Amino acid sequence: MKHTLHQVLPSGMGAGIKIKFYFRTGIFSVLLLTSTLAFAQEPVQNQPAAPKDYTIRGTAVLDEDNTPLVGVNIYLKGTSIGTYSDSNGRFEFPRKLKEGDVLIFSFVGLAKQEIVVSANLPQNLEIRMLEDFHNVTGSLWVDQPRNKTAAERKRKPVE
Amino acid sequence: MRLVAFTWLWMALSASAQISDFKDADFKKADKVARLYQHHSLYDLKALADKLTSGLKKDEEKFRAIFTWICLNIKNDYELFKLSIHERQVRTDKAELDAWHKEFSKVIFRKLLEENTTICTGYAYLLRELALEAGIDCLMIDGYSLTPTSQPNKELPNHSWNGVKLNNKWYLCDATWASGSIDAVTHRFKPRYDDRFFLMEPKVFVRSHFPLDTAWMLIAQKPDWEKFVGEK
Repeated sequence: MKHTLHQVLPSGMGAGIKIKFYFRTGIFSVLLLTSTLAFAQEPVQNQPAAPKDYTIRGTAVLDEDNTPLVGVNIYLKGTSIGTYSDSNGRFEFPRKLKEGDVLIFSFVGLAKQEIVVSANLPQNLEIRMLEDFHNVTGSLWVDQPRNKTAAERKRKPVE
Repeated sequence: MRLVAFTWLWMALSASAQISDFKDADFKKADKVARLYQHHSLYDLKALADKLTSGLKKDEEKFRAIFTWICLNIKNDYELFKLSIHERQVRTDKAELDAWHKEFSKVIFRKLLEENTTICTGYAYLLRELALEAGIDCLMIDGYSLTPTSQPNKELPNHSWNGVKLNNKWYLCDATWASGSIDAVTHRFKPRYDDRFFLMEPKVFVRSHFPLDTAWMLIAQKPDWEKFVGEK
């Protein structure tokens, strides 16, 4: 899965002010500046504020020819909460999700796919489903015709 | 001679399910649950697996409900079967065969979804998927099944079945053969649930099923290929 990285989190706001301050002092090396910046940003991400909710929506398509896939099952891993893609392959998960939640996309004959909810997900997900390829084999029972002895009439496997 | 061998084989196959490990399991209840959801769609396997298993306690009962449901609801497709045999015989080139397999795989899944008919790959696939949805470890095993009319061809595996892990032990089963048979004259599928192939004793199972990976015989004394096809 290739997703263009797209930050959903508010970008580190206080950073701009700090850059100006450091430039004015003008005594820090670039190396020190970057490491200080990284340090300065940390509290922004680690704020003990309520965890963010995400609405996950997007389109499910067949990887090989981009056909929208109707009826792809989408479940929140470990639960029976789910939905499925509509006639245009579009879906919106019926509940808000948190960072780290896992969505499972499945469809008969296609490989299952798991998506971990995070700030880095695009706002419009494109789920590309790949064929779950199997070498097809066939062996079944063919009953023997009637005019045989009881022993011969016993079912036998036929290739 | 062959006939004698097969008669012996099928007599040996009777009454050989490995159900002795599960004396306390209520398989009757599991079968009843399976009958409640006849004709349930395959579009949502998770929902189907939940319905079949949430009322049952033990993993072996859950697996039984899934196995029985598949046997009662999925039909063998004789035309598809003939087609697969024919196509695999005419294609001798490996690359060409692989390409054909890939296309055919799509047809198989479409037929399974829309018409609930398939050949053994579809049975084994469905059993694995539903079991996994129910939290039961299950896998597909490819290999050869023994036939009275033709020698198994070592180049062409002709059958798929399943291994399932219950209470930390692996067992074998074959949903295709448990579901019924094809009438020799009309070529119609005749459903007839045959639970001998549900958790069959591995040493009996191996007489008719030779896995590509012989570890999946699940027995210590493994017959070799020649013994399997009756050449020694």
